[in-house]
Amino acid sequence: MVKKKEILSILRDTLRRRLRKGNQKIERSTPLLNHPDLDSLELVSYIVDVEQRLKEKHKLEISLADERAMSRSRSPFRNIGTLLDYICELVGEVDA
Amino acid sequence: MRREPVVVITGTSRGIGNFLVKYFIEKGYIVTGCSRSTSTIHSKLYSHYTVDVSDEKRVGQMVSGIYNRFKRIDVAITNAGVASMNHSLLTPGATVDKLFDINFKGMFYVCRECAKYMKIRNYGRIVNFSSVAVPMNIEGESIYASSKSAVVSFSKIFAKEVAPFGITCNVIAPSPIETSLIAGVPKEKIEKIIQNLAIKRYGTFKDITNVIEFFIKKESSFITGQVIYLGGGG
Repeated sequence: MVKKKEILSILRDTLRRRLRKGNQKIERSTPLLNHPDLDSLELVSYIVDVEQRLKEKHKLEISLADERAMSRSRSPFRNIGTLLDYICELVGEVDA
Repeated sequence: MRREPVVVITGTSRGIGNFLVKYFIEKGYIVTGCSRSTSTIHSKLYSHYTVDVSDEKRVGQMVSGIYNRFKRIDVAITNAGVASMNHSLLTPGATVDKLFDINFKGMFYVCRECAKYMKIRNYGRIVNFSSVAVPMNIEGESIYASSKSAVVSFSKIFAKEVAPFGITCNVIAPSPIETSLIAGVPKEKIEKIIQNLAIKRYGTFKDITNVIEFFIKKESSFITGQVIYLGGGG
């Protein structure tokens, strides 16, 4: 069973790579939607990269930007923490 | 060392798709293809997947499998398609579902999945199949032409969306070619289409590969979102 901290690690590492700022501190509160260095296209790329890494590393095949995500009044892509919670919700069973 | 391109072709069991597989094998390319049936092509350069392109999950598994094996995908050609002719008033919903599932959704799934992996290398060439039936508006082809019209609209927008990733997406719109796809279409309907072309003859497989070669050339990096109608059918 995948651990929550493993998903968090993927979210952080993927963002670090996308931002090309190796030592930047990435917290749960780090924004995604309004990140100053992440335009809309970069955000799409980030989501695709996260989906692919979850699939490769943990065999988790999930679609992050589906209707469920888009129809929420509060977007799961607000920050790293909200995306982490959303992924855990999609995956169902996650070790803390 | 030069590495031959990895090409993904859908609908390879017969007709144009089958010809394209053999054509690219002849060129020494690494060819992967799929169809709902097993393959009759045996070559060390060809890998076949028995996949229905309208099955989203299976398409994802196939494309990731191809990428994991070859570590790249250079070209995707979404040839798989079905045709059906009927008056709209006599067309069941199930026929509409089938045509859109294969002609549009299947094309979309393959484009989406391949582009995810093409993006990694910042390079890709996608060629989708429409039809000269789209601009001709012939009675009896409302659903088929609509599904192929959707391919054009999608491809033009998708071309813009994937351009930042070094991926081009273009459309070939063949005129009638003597394959099983048109076997069930009345002769007079095919004749009507041919009479509406600037060059009044059946298309050939060579006409298809000529256009595809142009779209997938490395030098065609500035060609995207375009539709080429064979025989002057546009």
